[in-house]
Amino acid sequence: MCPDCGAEIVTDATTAATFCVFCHNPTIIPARLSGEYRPSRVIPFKISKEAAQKAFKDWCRKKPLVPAEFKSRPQMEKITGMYLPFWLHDCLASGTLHANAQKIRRWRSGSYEYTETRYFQLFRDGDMRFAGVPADGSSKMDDNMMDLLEPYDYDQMVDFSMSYLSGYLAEKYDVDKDIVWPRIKERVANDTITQLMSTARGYDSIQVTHKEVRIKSKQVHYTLLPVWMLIYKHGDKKYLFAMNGQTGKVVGNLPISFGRVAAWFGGIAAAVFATIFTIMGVIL
Amino acid sequence: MKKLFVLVIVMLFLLLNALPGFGQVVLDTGLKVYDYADLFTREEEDALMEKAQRIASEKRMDVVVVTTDDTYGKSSMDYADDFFDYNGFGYGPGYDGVLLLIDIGDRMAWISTHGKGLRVFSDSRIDNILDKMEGHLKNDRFYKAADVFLDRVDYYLLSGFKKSVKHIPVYLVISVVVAGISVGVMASHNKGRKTVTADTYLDRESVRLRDNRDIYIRTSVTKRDISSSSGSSGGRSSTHRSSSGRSHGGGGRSF
Repeated sequence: MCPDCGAEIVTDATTAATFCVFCHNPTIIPARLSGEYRPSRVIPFKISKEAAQKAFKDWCRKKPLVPAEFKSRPQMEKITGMYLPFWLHDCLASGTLHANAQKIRRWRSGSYEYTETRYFQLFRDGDMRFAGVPADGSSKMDDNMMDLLEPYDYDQMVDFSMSYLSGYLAEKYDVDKDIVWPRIKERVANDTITQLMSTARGYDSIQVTHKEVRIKSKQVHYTLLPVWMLIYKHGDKKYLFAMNGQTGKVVGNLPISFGRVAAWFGGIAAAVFATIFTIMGVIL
Repeated sequence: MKKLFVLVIVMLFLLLNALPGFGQVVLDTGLKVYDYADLFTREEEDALMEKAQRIASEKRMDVVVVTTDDTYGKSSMDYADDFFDYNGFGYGPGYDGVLLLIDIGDRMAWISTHGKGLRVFSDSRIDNILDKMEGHLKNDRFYKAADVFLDRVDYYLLSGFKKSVKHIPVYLVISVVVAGISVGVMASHNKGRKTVTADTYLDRESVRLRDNRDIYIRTSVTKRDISSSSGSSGGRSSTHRSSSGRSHGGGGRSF
């Protein structure tokens, strides 16, 4: 029920904040934001709707293969601001790395080229802490797409309050923190190894012979992060445009117009052909 | 005295006769193919003649094929140059032309260039022609070798534009590949790019290395002979002066 005009509001099972279709008043469903569903923190929107629309337009302009109708004005009107549920994990990682490494030096003397290879063995073992590694907690959203929206600036993160949701849509999580844990673990493990590798400098090649990472999750924060979104249907496929509502970073899978692909392909091929033909005519 | 004079004349005549080019002053320069060593069959000779005459008239450049089993003590180069000069080959004031000598006595092939031919047939191009002929010469396929020579001459005498036309299929393939890659890159830009790195969420202060050892094991040194690699001569044409005083280019190879 809309608290303003009394109309029935139809929502998804995961919708936590929406608009009344009749009076357009923002509506929050408190039950979906309390108890275990109460977010501990939130990053408020920093990008206005107008700025988001402009960014969308600029972005489309740089994509020559997108169909024209995708860039149209009515399409842009549909951009909506939404708070999406994320799990932010603080982790402790211990990593062990063994590797073989070589330094190679080449020089000439007389009619010979000499190659000197010096062989080393590297041992690394260390601890490090990762803070706020995010994983999206909404099954509606594509995980990889959400990963691409990163990073958010956690300095602007504040304690959660209902008042931030006013005027935006909001979702509650439907993927539990234990379910996203393997994804987090894999990510942290890779980052730990990369970190240890970065301490091995000055080698021309490195081969890892042994690696091992142990990870402990110290804390998980249920956090709402701001995203501008646009869902677009082209044929029977759905495409998503999403924008980090804090930093303005844009991701999305865009539809591709085959007409445009063909035109660009033909144009480039013709230009390349003409260029080679002319250049070779002069050279030969 | 008179007898001596006659004897000298006769001797001179015999000597001159022994040298091709002097004795055969009335050589028909329109034939283009002179098979003194008899390496071609009648039909092969006709085919080569026809081709050489066509190229010569189309390109305004004399094209000559000579075979011999005896160079009368001359080097292949001198024999080829003299054959060209003293028989009156060459078109225009610069005596433009190119001549292939197959010297079966020394098993040597020599390409001699004259006038404009000097510029067209650079050292690297002559090398290229000889490369293509070498296999045929080694296996005594002389007709095939001469035919290859004529084809390459024909090709090099095309203008750059016309040569370019011959390579259209290659250009087409390159164009299609480049366009395909470009459109592929454009399409891939329709997706987002990852902007987080391994240290985005890392607390830099927290990194503690318990073990950080680089242990030197051993050194190995290998050496490689690089003396054989030398640069090629690009578009240069090296020249020499023949007994007639004219300038010639050319190159040869034994087979």
